[in-house]
Amino acid sequence: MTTIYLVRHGQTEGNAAGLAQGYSDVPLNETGRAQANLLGERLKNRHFDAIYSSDSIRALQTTEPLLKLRSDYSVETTSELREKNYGDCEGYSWRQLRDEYPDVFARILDPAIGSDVRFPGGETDREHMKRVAKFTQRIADNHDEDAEILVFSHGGSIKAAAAYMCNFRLEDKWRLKTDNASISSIISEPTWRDDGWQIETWNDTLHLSLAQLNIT
Amino acid sequence: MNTLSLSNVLGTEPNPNRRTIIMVLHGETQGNIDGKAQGHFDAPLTDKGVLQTQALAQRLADTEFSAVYSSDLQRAVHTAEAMLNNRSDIQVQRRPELRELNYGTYENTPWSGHGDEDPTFFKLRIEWETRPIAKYPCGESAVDLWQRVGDFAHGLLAKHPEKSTILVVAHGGSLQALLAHFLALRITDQWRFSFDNTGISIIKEHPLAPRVWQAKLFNDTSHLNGFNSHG
Repeated sequence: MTTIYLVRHGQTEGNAAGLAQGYSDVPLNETGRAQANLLGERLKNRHFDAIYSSDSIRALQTTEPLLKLRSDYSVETTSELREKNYGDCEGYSWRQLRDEYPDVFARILDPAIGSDVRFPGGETDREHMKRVAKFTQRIADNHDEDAEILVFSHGGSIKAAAAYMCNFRLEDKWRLKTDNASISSIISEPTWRDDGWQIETWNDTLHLSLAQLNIT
Repeated sequence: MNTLSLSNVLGTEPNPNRRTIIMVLHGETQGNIDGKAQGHFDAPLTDKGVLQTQALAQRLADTEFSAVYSSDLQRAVHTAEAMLNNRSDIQVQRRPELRELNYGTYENTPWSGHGDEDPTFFKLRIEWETRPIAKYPCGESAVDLWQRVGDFAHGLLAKHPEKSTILVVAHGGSLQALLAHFLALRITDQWRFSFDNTGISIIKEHPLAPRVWQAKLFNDTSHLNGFNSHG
């Protein structure tokens, strides 16, 4: 069984303000750094055969506490895992996007066409998914069938990877929520069928709430 | 609920009646250990299964439930009742619509080895994922399960229109169908969600959009030590 753990970066000021960040290099804020520390503690006793990260600074900073705790681990970085590129609209809040680009915003929310709509200068959901899928399929193919692989990236990239591997419709991916510093995992059972990827866990943040089940 | 999409409901004020549904798979049975298709076969929990339900109850001890529904098979009822220990104000409502898929003549037979020993069973299991009208002999198809679980889901929403936290304890197959229903996924997507014994999953209504649901948590088994079952 191959397992790919999909970890979202810790909080940035952009997350706290509800902004579209995309390719923009926004560092973790104080909360995000605390989340990354808790994540490192949660993961430090686990074995991983390989660790990958988006090359955006918020993802790289999220890997740092684990790397400090485990000097035997190293991270391979890639631009393929970056968040969707929002082009000219990076740094806008969702409300601003809705108000300033009402036509694009309405078309993006239309499930029939939304995956192929872009903000000016940006990527479509389908282009973003193809980029992330290329990476995810490659690591799935290149590692042994019992590999445990850890991947640090972004909310949109995590959903795109899971939707591609599990063959969900791209327009359904927003049904799965990913919080900052959450752990999700997908698994494949090669003895069962070749495309048998399944969601094993989603959006686990127990390390942030300490024994409290956060349902609010 | 399949006809609703985010685009035609978003933009309203925050929904004051936002609902939460917590889904839990029953604790371990001997059939789970032996890798059997249990279906409607009414197996009790193992000793380990009982311990799992106790850990689960502790984990959810501070969570207030508005209502608790369970499949009427004993492995689900016992799991639900363990969670309601010391809560005299609430009763487990037993619902046959939440039962596991009926495997018909294959009830309580092992999954493993059937590729060689019983190619028909193997083919049925694959078909169940891709051709939803394929029925197990004298049993149910994915469509049969989808419809009875869908009836339950619609009834649940009608019965609890206001802000509430509802616990549903059931089986791998019926919870897959329930989750896929609420998230408006395709019937052929449902088997992509792998539920473990006493795993906790939470879905919530969108903050702005009534009857549009998102998964907040899937298959959290942290109360069993470790963040997954093969750790």
